[in-house]
Amino acid sequence: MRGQLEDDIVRVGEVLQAATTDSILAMNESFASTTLRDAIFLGKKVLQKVLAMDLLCVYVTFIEELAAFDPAVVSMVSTVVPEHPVERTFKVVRAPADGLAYAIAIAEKYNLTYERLRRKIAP
Amino acid sequence: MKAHLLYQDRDFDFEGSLPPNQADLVQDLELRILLEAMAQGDEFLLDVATKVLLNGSDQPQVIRYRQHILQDGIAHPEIIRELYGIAVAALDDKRKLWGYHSPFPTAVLTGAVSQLEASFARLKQLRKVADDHGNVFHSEGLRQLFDALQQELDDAYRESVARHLQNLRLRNGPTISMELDRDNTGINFVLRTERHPQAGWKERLGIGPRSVYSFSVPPNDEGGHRTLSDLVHRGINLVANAAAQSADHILSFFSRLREELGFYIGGLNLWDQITDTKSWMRFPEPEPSDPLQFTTQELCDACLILTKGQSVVGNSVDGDGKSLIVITGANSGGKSTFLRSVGVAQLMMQSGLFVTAKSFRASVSCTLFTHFSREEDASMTTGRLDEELKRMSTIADQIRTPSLVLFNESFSSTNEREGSEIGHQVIKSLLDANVKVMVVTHQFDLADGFFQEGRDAHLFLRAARGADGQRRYRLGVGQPLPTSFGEDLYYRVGRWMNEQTGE
Repeated sequence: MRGQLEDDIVRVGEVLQAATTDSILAMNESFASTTLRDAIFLGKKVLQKVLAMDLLCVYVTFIEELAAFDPAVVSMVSTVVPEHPVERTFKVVRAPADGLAYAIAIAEKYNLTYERLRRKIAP
Repeated sequence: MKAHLLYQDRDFDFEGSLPPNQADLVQDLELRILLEAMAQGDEFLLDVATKVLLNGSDQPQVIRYRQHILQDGIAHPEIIRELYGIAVAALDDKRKLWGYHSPFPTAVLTGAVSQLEASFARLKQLRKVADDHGNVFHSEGLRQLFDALQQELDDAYRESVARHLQNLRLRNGPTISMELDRDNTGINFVLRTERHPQAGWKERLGIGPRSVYSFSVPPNDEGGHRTLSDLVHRGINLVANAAAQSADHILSFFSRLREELGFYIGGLNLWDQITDTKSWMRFPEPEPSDPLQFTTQELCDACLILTKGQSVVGNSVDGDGKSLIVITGANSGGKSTFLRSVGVAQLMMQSGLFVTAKSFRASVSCTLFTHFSREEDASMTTGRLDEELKRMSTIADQIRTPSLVLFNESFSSTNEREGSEIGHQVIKSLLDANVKVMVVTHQFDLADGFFQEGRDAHLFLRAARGADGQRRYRLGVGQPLPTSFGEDLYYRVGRWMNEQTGE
């Protein structure tokens, strides 16, 4: 039996094995199933390999450290409507990562804040 | 007569709906595996097992009532299977016989009498099982059923039933009395017991008054025959309906018996399969929801045992009085498996089944909820965060206290800081509302936040990592760490940078 992270690592390893300089690699929230520290470590390992192979990679992640990992990495950010952060613009622009995911705004949309949940769930 | 094998004093509501979160439970806890092991390919048993497992009882005495029946069953499986076989056969009889739901009372009566005869033959079989083996059972539920079979189906009763059924066959045609209303129409039709009066000698000689005045409708008198059959229908209508109702009544007893025994057949099937794996199987100790109890030794995930077909590593936890249990630590360290084992054991306990553990004592909960991280929605209609927050919001709508919520890597589809913050608010509000929570998380901020509160009601478990980096799927008490040892997993199965050494 393999854990989720082990699966992830094995799969990424296989993909990297098969990739060539002419490949395009797309990574989507890989290594989500571990602590932040481990995810940074593993993400950096992937980027090292990508830079070494000099292939094109699009890496979707919440880890801002990866966006600033190397001068060759271009940081892009998906944007929200500034005065109404629940609303996504679905526009991805070239900008440094600011560490804001606006997730709490979405949690509020679903009434998942402490105050609102307490009111909803009777003790 | 009542089966009452799932509740002391009432039938189980098999028509009732499943809990609204059933699809999540089945998916997150992989219950399909457990249910299929109970059903062994039988659709009916699958349905019964699903309903009883997912609609567990939160009353410890109800749970024990079922446990005792299953214990009797495990001690004498052949008797339980025989009883179940009789119930199945009784319902099969019905399929083979002509239905008695007809507009014609004569057809209703004939059908109902045949059905009653068949059903009484099955009741006699049940009674025989009770006579032959009744004394080997100790559970209140089975004793009650066997006592009822022996008392209510005694010889005198069976003879009287046989006689009634014989009469209702109306072998010599019906004898009906009626009165004439003012306008000479017939009223007060009554079907009479068949009698064959011996005519007196005067009558036989044709010189005395006749006891019977009769005439025959000529064969070609269609109108006369129609009138006669109308009279017969009106005469036997009441009796036919009563017979049909009795037949339905007995069949519904067999239906209940089949459903309720079906659950125990599922339990026996499961017991047999897990016995083959040489895993721990014990009857759990259900406790009231207050004070909180949760103590187990060598608890294994029953579904994992069934999948692997062999025993698996168990976990022991001393969690009495703990409202929050946070599980962190090594990847592939058995965290999710432990969480599932708790969920599965809780459902098994509350339905009356045994659990796969050396011991398991836990408070009952009103409802069990699971919130497990999922793969991205393939239809691309919502993002992952939206999807999991929406599920959490649904849980909040449905939750009653005291409940148990199992979180598996929830709120991780955003960055660590915001995910931890959302997780903290959600979990805190549940705890303050008296909901018990178990969390598997990699979010150090979240786990450490609760750890820093230093409360007695919080327990922190960590998946162990052996000295050699080998994971052993065993949890121990331990505070959250900022790493889940993903690094050494990389050196073991990744290593795409071709590094020479690990550290």
